[in-house]
Amino acid sequence: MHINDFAGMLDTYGTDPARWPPAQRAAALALRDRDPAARAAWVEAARLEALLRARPEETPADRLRAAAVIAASLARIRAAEARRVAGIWPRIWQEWRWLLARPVGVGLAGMVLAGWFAGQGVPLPPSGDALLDLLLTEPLALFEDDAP
Amino acid sequence: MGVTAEWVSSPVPAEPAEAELMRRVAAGEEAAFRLLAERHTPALLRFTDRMLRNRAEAEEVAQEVLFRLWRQAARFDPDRARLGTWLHAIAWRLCLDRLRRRGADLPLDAAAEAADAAPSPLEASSRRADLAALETHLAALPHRQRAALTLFYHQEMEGPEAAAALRLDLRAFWSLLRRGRAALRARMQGG
Repeated sequence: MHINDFAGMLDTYGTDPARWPPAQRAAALALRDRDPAARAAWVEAARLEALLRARPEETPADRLRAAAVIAASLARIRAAEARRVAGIWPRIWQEWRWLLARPVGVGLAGMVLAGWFAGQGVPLPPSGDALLDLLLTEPLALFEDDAP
Repeated sequence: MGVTAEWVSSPVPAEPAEAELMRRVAAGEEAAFRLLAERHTPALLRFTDRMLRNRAEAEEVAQEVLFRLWRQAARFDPDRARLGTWLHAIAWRLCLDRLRRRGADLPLDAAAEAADAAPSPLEASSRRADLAALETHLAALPHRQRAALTLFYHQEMEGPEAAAALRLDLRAFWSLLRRGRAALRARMQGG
């Protein structure tokens, strides 16, 4: 392996030999160990990787900053939710008011309203439970009338 | 969104706790949102800081990502990616939009910082100066190379995860990372 191939391998796979292609690993390690230029290239690349991985220690100011970002996003979420809820009825009105602007729509709305009012005046049929009560109590009442 | 073969074939599933929390967020539970936000915001800020090099803009982007987390929680599929990958993918798109709007590859504030951050001879050997130099040279790289290096090293993502966050197939990601490493090395050696 030539030093240029080795440098190209460092750019492609990084400095961790575990990531190097198995077929080239032994030759690359041998070159790194015997050639000072290869060794220097490897050390320089490793130093760069360490810098890239470096993270400054988290400070209280960083934590405050993150908390402020979260608080701001929560405020925005709450405002958006409030707008969404408040906008439901106007949206329904916007979507259906065309119906009232046409004679057929007014007629339809009138029929719906008339049906609703008519329904208020009609006595409801007995429910299933009420019917059962009637059947159970009626024979008893007859029996009570026949009693001495 | 273009879903690549690598994205599908090398999924890194979300932890069950996180998937459950996302279901609760989708149902409108604010406490679950807060928990996830507290877990991911520091990493998002690290990424947006490094991509945008402007604190106010970095915070705006992180805030927008959290807002989308809330609004799009129902669309999150835990079988396809970790939540962190999903959030970084959103952050990356938002950063890219802002960087493109700036018009130049090297943002103005980064150029100003580059001038300020030039290490003095006394500082040259210190780690702090090295880090300042690194930031300067990173800022001068193309956006995608900077994102690849940041996700892989700084955010410690595995290749498939970082590729998914950048909406790239794995081969393209490795190629991008290789170009990024080479460009950064050349810049660092050139001073």
